[in-house]
Amino acid sequence: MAQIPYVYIGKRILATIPILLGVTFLVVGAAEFIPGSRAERLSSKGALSQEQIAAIEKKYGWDKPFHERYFIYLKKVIVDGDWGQSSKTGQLVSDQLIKKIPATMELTVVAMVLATFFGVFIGIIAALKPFSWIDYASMVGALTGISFPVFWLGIMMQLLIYPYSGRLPFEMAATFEPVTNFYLIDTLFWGPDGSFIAAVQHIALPAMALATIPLAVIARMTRASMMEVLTKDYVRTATAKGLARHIVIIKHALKNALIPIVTIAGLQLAALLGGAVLTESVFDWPGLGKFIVESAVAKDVVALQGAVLFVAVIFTLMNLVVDVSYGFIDPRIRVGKD
Amino acid sequence: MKNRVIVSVGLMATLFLAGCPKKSTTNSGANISKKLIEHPVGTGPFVFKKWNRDENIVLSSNANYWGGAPKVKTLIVVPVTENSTRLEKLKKGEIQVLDGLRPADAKGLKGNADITVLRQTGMNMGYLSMNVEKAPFNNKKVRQAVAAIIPKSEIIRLNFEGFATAAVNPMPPNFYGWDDSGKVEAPNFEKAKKLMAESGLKLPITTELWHMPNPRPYMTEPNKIALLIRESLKKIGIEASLVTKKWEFYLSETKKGNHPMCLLGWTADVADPDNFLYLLLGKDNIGATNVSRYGNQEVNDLLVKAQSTIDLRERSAIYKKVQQIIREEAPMVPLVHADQLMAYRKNVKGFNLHATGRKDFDKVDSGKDTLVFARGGDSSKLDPAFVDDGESVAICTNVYEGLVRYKRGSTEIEACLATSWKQSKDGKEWTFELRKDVKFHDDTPFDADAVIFNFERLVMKDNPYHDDAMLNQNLYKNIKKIEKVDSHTVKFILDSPVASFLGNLTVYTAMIASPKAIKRSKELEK
Repeated sequence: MAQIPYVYIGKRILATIPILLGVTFLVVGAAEFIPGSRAERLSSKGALSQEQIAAIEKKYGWDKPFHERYFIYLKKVIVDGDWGQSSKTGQLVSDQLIKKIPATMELTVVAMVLATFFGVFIGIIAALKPFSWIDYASMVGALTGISFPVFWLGIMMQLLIYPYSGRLPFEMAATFEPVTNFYLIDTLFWGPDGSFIAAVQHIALPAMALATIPLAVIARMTRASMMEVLTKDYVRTATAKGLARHIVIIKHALKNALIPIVTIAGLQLAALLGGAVLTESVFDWPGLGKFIVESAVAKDVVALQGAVLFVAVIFTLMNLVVDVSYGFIDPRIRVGKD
Repeated sequence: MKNRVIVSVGLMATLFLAGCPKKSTTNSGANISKKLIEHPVGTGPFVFKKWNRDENIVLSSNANYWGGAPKVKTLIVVPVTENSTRLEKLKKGEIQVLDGLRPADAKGLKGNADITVLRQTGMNMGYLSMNVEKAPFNNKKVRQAVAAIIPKSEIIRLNFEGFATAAVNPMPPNFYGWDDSGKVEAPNFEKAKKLMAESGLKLPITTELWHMPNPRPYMTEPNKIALLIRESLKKIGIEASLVTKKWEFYLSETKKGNHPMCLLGWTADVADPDNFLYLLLGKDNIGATNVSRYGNQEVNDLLVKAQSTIDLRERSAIYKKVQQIIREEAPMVPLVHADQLMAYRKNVKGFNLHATGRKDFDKVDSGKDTLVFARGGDSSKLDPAFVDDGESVAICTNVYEGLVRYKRGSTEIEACLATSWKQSKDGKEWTFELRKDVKFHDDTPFDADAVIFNFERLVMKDNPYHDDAMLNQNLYKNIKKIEKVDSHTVKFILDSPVASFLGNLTVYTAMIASPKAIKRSKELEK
């Protein structure tokens, strides 16, 4: 077991600070370029008097100059933990974000399990019979998977199979009291009869749509990595020892081919956790991605800032986790010791 | 291994149980721990049960409703963003009532044995504005020529699939005071060419026609309409190039009067001619909603006079006169009044869509206890004083009620929480008798104090519950004082007579919420 690389982790955490500062600056700065008065955007018909506009701008602190607003925002987020209040819904942005996490996480986990399992499986098969029809078929399939835009694939799935949307059928969702907000868990333990199956049905299509791209990426990565490892001496030795083929493949080859796969899977996971904007919108999945889209459409600047910052934090943290995990998977990598 | 899975699932569950408190589902006031924007408390036919944002809003039948408990025991309101998915779910019967139906889809539903399409003329108008301060439209003959050649029926056929009414006057025909002396005319190029010749201008004239960048409720495809109009203009020697801008700029630039011609529209909340004629054509509103910059003093005086003319017949006559002047002077060409389109399953009976967009579910009978209503987006806030998006209004109008309301299917005003009312001769004092034995959903009584509490919150700047960000405040700015006559009688004292006062009271902003809930809401804010 490798030593826990405290110094390395510490350095990496410190390195995330300028990244996050940069993100906040971009996010707050970008909001400056949205045309029209912020106060007027609150009312769909713009039927506000000048006094009302002034009062609203004062209330939200929009009358101050940019640099002042930026530092106020930073201080509030970092020191007070106050992410501001959504102008559209009047809720605290932090409350809203926390409620969106379970939905996004549930979809992401299911999609990533699908993508990793099938991706690795297809990749191994392709690597075992390189340049055979099965290799070409799976790699063409993977390429197609990367190329399909999710919004098209999702809509096609809905048209051809069934228009699933949301996390449960409407009546079931309305009578049901979520406990963990992970619907697969909730319906399994506390849901009415048949609700778990309904939850599985409802997550299946969005998860498949979301899984296509990571699946294709993982399959290609597995194939390349496995093909390299399979030519190594220790694989030949293991085969020569008379070990069963599946043991050679899984215990000797796959284990060593895993590093690049973990990297790519980790990064894909981070990207999906940040909210699958397209998939969630197409399937009405009430997660972070849909929240971002709706905040943007409503020009709810405060909520949008919060959401983007939140995604940036998740992404940087996931990157950190991936980097640190190398040390545990492969003892040869000695991070933190120059 | 199996044990480990169960333990970790259990651990996760416990963490989330601790982290996310269960939502309150009771409707007794004692247990509500949410702000009014999250948990509305009114007197209406439906009691708010719960709101799982972006997933569903659940309302239940108010058993004590004074107008009779609704037959629908549970009303589930869901957002389904994708138009095609929403329609598909209606066809499959997963939802019973659908809002946000596109004209093309409405056409496609014709002949469907299970689904009824509901058409309701909206309180809107799309129009072509001509800036009377800019050449060539400072010339009345040119404006009249343009007005004579607009192909309204073609616009309706091509852009609304026929689901719209051609506009004659700058206000919808279901308003009182609508002038019926004009009619929709087919494009008359002979007449227009003659007018252009009389104008004395050298042809061809080059100008700009501005159109909105995005669809609006009153104009689904502004760019196509602009193209149609450009073709017609060409035939009488006006070469218009099409211009569009981002919506916010479009609004601010047209307010400033930087356009020669532009497409625009208007949607009203109050079925009152003032809401269209004064705002769009009154001289006082140049620089704001009067984008044609029409500065006719006579018209402005008439419109201001009408605002305080309490006698309906007299008021109606003034508006008719104004509409005739506008048709003659043509500072704008009214184009269409777009229909509001909804659809529901055939087994749904008694649903009502009002011209104001109000959706009444209280008399609905679908033969089942549960009804699912789907629309394109979720509500945002459910406090009537802060609401003006259609998705929130649809919930508010079923949970809250005002003193008066529009009758189903007309713009006539009828009693609601007030049983009767009378006004003083000078139109400055309005006395309302309130309904007795009405309770808010949190069991607190509805009485004069509750009414006064709500209106003081809305209009009194120094009231502790007032907020400057409350929308539509200016509808009620004339209220100077609200007096309690007895426990169920209130008197509104205005600083000047307002003819549309009753109409303004029908707007959702003036709906009455439980004072107890408002107070608690304020405490929670702190």
